[in-house]
Amino acid sequence: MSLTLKRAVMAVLGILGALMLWPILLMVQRAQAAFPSYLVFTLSQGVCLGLVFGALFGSFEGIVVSSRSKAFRGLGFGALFGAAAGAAGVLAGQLFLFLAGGALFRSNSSRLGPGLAAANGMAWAIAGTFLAMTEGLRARSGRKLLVGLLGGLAGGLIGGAILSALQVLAPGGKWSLLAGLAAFGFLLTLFYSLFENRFQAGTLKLLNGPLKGKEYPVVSRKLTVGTDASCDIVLAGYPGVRPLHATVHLEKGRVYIRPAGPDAGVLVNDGPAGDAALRPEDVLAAGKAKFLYGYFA
Amino acid sequence: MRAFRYGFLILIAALAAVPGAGQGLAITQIDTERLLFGQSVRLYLSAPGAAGTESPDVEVWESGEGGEWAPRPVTAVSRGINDAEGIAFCFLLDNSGSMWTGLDGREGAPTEDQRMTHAKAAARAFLAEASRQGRGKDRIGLGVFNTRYWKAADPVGDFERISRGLDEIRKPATEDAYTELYLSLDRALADFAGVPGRRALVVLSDGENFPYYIRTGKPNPETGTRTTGPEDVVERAAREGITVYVVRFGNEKDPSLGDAAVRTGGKVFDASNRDELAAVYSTIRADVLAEIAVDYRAGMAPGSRRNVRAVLRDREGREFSSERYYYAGTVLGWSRDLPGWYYLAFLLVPALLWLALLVFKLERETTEAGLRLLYGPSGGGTRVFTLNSPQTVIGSSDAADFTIGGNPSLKERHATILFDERQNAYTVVGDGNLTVNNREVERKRLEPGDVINMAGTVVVFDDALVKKTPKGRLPQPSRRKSQ
Repeated sequence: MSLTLKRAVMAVLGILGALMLWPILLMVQRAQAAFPSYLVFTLSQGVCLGLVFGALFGSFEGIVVSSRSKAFRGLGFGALFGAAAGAAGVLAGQLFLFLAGGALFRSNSSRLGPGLAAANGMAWAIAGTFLAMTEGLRARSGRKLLVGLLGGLAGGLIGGAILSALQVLAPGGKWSLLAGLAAFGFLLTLFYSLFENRFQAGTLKLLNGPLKGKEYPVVSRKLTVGTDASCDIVLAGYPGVRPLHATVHLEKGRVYIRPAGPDAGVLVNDGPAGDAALRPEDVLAAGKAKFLYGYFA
Repeated sequence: MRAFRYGFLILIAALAAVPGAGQGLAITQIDTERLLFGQSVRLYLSAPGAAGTESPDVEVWESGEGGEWAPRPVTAVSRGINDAEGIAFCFLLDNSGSMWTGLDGREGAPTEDQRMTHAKAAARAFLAEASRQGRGKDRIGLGVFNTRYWKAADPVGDFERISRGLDEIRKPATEDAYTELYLSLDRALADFAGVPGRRALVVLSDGENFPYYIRTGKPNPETGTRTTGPEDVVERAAREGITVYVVRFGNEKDPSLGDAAVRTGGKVFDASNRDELAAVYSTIRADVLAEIAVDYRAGMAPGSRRNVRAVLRDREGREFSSERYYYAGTVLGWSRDLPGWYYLAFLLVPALLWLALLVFKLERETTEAGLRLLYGPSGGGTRVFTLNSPQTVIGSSDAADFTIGGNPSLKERHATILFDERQNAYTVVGDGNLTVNNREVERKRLEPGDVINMAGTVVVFDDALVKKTPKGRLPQPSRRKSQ
């Protein structure tokens, strides 16, 4: 999948998440007065938010590489991780909002609207950061953590500010939440993919076979390549590829490919994969699958 | 004569230090620190009405935005809580022309008789008491006003700085000598509002509002044509939870100022005797320490602004009440609308779309051999050329089978792809400036995914990986060939 299509799918997932969350959260909010405490109320909303976005983002990788089993596994994992991250993130955001809101209400009330919008933006950014960083935790990748941090921050800031600004204009209106969530979902994914591109150490682009055209950015320290669904790059339908065929390593900004076994055929420019780091325009072969390494706009 | 005058003023000061009429209860501060984790809110009440009561009878009511008032359970009522935090004071010192006259209003009075001299002495006595009793926890700031208002210092623990600030105050020029009392008070409250903790504003003034714009008809150099009065000041002070105390100098009494101070929960002092002035700090401090802290269990009414009302009954059964609000907004907002049936569509349609994304693959497998332009000097492109003849010529010439323009280094007939029907195999042939997978070649049997570079124009050869011909070959991943 080309980068543009990938971004589009990711943004679509972000917006789908917003659309699905909107009625769920409205239902919870409708029952606010029936909740025993802000703690339970905040955690409930955080779990809903994290569950939906976590499941969607978790399934993203599987959708992109067209691996159904990967998508459903990612979905389950994302929902679980996301629920925890959402609860923690929204709780942290709420804590911040109470402090900031308390200070704003105590001070000059003429700047209350923009102040609250900024505070709410920050609160959402905290929640978004928690959510977007789960992928980095799962992949145990510092770069992905950073990508998640920046994506969550940017998407959260704007989404939260939009919600808050609309709530100031129309207190208690239901559309402000939808607008805020849509902006949050769209921007979080957009910024995530932009930052992922920014922090990648090159991309492997599949040149042939059923997954032709797919791009795999090298962002984490280790990528596994093989036919097994647990691999990062799943080469289902490619002859000559083993369940675990090769690993791609990112070491100090340089990328290396190594065969996973002595007789796993891995070629770089039609020669055996040596110890040298990959250079842009290198052609890699793993079994019958062929990749082009480089930076693609 | 002078002794008599002082005696008279002392009498007035003693009378005025008694709490004013109508003053009963004020919520001076709302603490929501334990709202999220304990569902508990603390109110600080300034309640002279219940001064002698050990455990006052307090009720707390709450309402959300536009909602009904509902009683909330009070969990604890305690006294003396604020002692640990210290108090933030702000002096607002009048530096108008009349402050440089005698206490009786006469021009040309000797320096030691001038109101300003008394005001400075009062402020210094206050500073001395604050350093003696405040245990280093109090902070004091300074604002000065006449026609103009300026903040000389934010509240600081270094009282020497405030003392130096007092030294620097000079008699103003005539144009600046007006008493912009309420506007300056309003601006000082706004400045002071951002300071955390328990706050008291102490106005040192002769209490005659003499606004520049109203008196001269010309706009004030700082505030233009804006005007304000005691009502607005009381409203702002109540909103910010700042108590206003007034120390008055001179014989002309501005009744509104004293009344305004009392309505914020503060007191009025008429001061000209230094011994009496020393008691101002002790009185304010005692007021703050006498505040009642009320902990109660907060409700869950939606909305970002939560109104709270405290009701206090004294021993005689008199009721006092005070209202304020605190921030109770939630991260994901709130909604007053009932969910409608169409909400279900918002849930189902995206879920189905998502399922579709999960189930349907977005790509098609290659079924026929072809060339795809990857990139070249003319920029990228997604040109695809299907190989369907035994011989395909690639080059810049229009006569070539696959014509690629925009690259001057590309020869008219740069490379040829031959198809061997018997072996069902493709071979690329060229004479220089041709690489396959970054290796110089003149002739090479092509594998799906091979990258052919012709003088910078790069195409990918593609074919079905598993051929459906009887002669379908088994994969040979380690095969290397560059003839």
